[in-house]
Amino acid sequence: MAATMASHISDYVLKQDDSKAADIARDLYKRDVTLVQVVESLGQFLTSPVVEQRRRGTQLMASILQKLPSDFLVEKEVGHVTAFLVSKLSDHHSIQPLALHGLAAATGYSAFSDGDESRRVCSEIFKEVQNQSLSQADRRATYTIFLNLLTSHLPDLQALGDTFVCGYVQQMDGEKDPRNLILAFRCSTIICQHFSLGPMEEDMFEVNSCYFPIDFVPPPNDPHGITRGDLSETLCGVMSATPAFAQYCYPLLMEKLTSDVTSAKLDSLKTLCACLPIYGTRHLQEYLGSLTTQVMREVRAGSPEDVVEASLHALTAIAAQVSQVPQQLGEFMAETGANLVRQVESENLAARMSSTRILCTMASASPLVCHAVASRLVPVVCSVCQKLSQLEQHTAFFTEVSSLLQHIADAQSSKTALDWSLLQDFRGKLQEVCDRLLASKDSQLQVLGMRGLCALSAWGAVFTADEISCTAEKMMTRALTADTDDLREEGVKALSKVARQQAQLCDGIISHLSQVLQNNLALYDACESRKMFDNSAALLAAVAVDDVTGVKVCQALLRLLQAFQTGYEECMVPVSNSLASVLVRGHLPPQFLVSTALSGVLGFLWSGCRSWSADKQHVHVTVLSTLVRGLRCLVLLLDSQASQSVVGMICSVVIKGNNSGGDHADASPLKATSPWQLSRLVQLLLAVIPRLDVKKDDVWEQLVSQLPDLALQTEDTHTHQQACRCLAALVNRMPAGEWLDSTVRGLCTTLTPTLTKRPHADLDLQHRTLNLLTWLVKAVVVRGHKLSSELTGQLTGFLSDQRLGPKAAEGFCMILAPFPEVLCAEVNANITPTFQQRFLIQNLAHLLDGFQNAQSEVKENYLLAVAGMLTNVPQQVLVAELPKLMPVLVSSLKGSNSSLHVQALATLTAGIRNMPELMTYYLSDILPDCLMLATQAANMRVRILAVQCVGAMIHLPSKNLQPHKTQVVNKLKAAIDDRKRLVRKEAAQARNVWCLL
Amino acid sequence: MTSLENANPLVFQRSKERAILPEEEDDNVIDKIDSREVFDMIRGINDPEHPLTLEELNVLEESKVTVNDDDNSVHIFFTPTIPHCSMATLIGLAIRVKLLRVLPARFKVDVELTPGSHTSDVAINKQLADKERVAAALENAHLLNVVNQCLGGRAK
Repeated sequence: MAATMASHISDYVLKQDDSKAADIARDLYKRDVTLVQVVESLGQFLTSPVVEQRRRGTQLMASILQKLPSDFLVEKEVGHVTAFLVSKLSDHHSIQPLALHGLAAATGYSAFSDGDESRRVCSEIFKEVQNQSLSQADRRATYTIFLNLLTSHLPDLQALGDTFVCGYVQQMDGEKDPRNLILAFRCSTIICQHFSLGPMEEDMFEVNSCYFPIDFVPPPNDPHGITRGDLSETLCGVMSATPAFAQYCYPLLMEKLTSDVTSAKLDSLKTLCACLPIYGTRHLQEYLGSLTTQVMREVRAGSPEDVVEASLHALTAIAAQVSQVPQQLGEFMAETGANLVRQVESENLAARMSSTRILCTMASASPLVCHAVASRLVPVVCSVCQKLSQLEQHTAFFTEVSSLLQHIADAQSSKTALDWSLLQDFRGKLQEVCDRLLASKDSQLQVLGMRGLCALSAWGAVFTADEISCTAEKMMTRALTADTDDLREEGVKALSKVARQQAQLCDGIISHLSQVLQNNLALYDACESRKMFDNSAALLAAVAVDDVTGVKVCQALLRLLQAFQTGYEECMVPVSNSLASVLVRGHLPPQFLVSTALSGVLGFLWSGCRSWSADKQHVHVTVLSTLVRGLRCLVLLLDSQASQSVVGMICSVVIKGNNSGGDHADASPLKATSPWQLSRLVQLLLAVIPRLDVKKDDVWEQLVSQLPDLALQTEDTHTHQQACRCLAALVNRMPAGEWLDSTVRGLCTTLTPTLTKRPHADLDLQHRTLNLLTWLVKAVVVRGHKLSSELTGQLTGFLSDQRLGPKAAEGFCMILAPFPEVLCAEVNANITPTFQQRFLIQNLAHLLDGFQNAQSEVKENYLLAVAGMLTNVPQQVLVAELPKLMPVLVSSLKGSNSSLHVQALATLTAGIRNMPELMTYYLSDILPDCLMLATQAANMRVRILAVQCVGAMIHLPSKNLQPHKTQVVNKLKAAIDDRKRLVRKEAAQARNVWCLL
Repeated sequence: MTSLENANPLVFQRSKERAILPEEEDDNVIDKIDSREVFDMIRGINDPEHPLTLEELNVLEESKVTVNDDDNSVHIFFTPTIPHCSMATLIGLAIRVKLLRVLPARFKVDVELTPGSHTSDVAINKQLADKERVAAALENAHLLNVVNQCLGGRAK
């Protein structure tokens, strides 16, 4: 072994064979040779008088170190190697970089010893290495050494003190490469945080801040992936690392704020926000005035919205710092605050708006600032509001006012004790403002009014309990008659806040809302009653904020379920929505949950729904799916004991039926002969499968044997789909092994004869069978089971069948498509990572072959399968596979199958964004087809996608687009006069961008 | 930089995206072009002076757009922010060009200043109504460039 190694080494050093390093590292890793042996054999080269041999020897040492895992060597070995490499730093100039690379690897070893070792490395680097004269990769090694030592051996370096800081500053000075700067900034941050910089303070700041603001545009196709954002974030970390930088940083930031470049402004503001909490009050007083003025100027100057946002954040951060010293806050408010308040009063709308915005945002800084702002601003706001007549024109102003009211509410509920009595006089006026907003016709203002009232209801220090209850009632009454979704949502938020803060009001609210529900139940067909009913159901769910309210709300909703009779179908949609959201919140006590809530829901589904009229089947689907979603989230949320009882109860209903008696005492959802209202309950299984115990017991046996029969025999489409999904979910969760294999094989054996039967069996039955088979394939593909390729092969076989081909092709799309309620991570499914990618790669070649050899009438099936898979794979995979698929995609645009067009166009549009070069190459092939589809396709979805595709092409290089411009602009004339508005909208956009070319 | 004519204009709220109705998703129903649709086409045009859209400056309002799909006619009133605005012709031209590009050619388009909103409204209306002058204006490369900037979304 040692002999082989010696030959490896001499090959590496003398014959320049780089691959030998990997061989030696592998032998070392397998413990076939020891490090000592390697060093011994290497010794003659390391001490050789020939520079080149010493260089290769050192290089071999370094690359072995880089290849071994970081916990492989023991402390002594690392120590020796390090000592050797350190000594090589002072060797020939061509050897030094290799020693640095070796040290970069050695310092990363976990066995690198504490103590003198790191100090020696650093001192030697400071003495021998002139970083600026090295190449980028070598400089990177230096930074890596520092970063490794700073993160793992900080105390050792701290002992070096000023020497280290000084040495580091010299090494970092003049760095230009972004890849290195990212490391250097990280080192600087650690140094600033943990070293006393002393006399080096200014140098340290200078050497880093000279890069501020970052001005870096990554080259196209940059493999290193460093962005301007990364750099500016790390640099911001350096600048905010120590309060010592305050005196240098403030002037710099103020200077950069005056820049014309938006990114420079943004960086300055963000850095300011990050620095203020670290710097504290240090040097703030000196710069406070000019800094505030300058940042406020940004808010007023009509800068872009992101700059304004950042400026407001900065002002808030400044206010938060100022408020640390009460006297300073007083002065600040007396000067800056008073100025702003004066402008709020002024007639100049722009000045009023920006000042209000600044003050209201500042109020969020701290309770103290909020108090100071409120005491000055509230009186002014009240008088301004009274004067305003056309409220719609001042939406932005009222948005700020309502946020101010919320900040005051937050400050009142904080721990800081403050005297809020000065707001007493304005209670009435503020309420009046909110009332006016609520009463206005503009939906946005209504929302703001609701928000304002909600904030006022939390002003415990100002309003009495009666007043608050009055406000809550006002909000509830208004929310009940809400016409828009926005207002309803705001009402829901407000009421749930009230319920949380004012527990004593909950009873009254719940009973009032339940009364409204009862009153409007019978009149549901009338528009007004329907609105009241829907709103009160949503509001009722919002009030369920803890155990007590949860139970009461749940009871009220269950009463409605019990009262169900034919004719009330639609009412059950909002009720089930609310019930689901109450269940999901997990407030209900387990005892109540099982004995009352669950049995109520199951009773409703079992017997209540029996009279559900057949022409309202789609409503039943919505109600059932909503309840199942709620139950599923609940089951996943509960602890194991409670969930087991829920799971057991649901399983027994599905398998054995409800024992409570009635006409269908012997009926079961698993029997295909049961009425649809019953058989659809099989969907309930999807709620429990995620927590079902995986073991071979009666429940599993029964489900696995009965679900296929149900799926195949039932006439009801929904039942069929749900049965397929349940079976797939079960198969997916089965433990790997004999049981699973035999189950899957057994199912296949029963399914195949129906599909291959000649003369043909009933087409509906065949479609059902194929769908079940597809779900089965999905179940095994998702878990990456060995049978998946065999089953997929069967599915591929049906593509050449004229009757079943199109369905089988859709199956390929479905196998990869995500479903939120089955076979996904949220429901504890057994998922192999990247299964989509594997499936695509395993089947692509086969499908393309099939496409080439197929007869013309079934060719489209293959294309459809390929396109279907492509729409569901991650972007990166698509990019990798697209080049081979382009010819296929181009030809799929020429056919007449609209679902194929949809998928091909979606893939092409994604391709244009990700692979412009490839698409440019095919531009003249796809453009005419896209234009033809955009104007002539019968299906509007195809037309929309085709127009979008044409519009997306604008991102391709314009020199390639120019020749087609006239043609596109002319052809799109027909699309902008399409009969559908959605097509016209996209066409107008596309034509406009092409005209601008 | 020359000083702006109206340095501090009042900014208005943008209206929300149009909600999509079920019948718009039904391929068999014919959607007529209505005033909101035409308003949507032009509301995003940039003001030549400010980084704001004509809608945000209230130069265009949905209520001042009249559309008759059957008679193939579109009429638009626009309101400059100040009565002596020298950009009024340019704004009118931008609206015209945008509609030329995105509105079916069967429509007859009239773009006029809201009566009383400009000191020389008669003259400007005449210019905007003169097809040949509009066509000639678009031959002017510099002018076309300015118009394209107004139509091309926010400056990059």
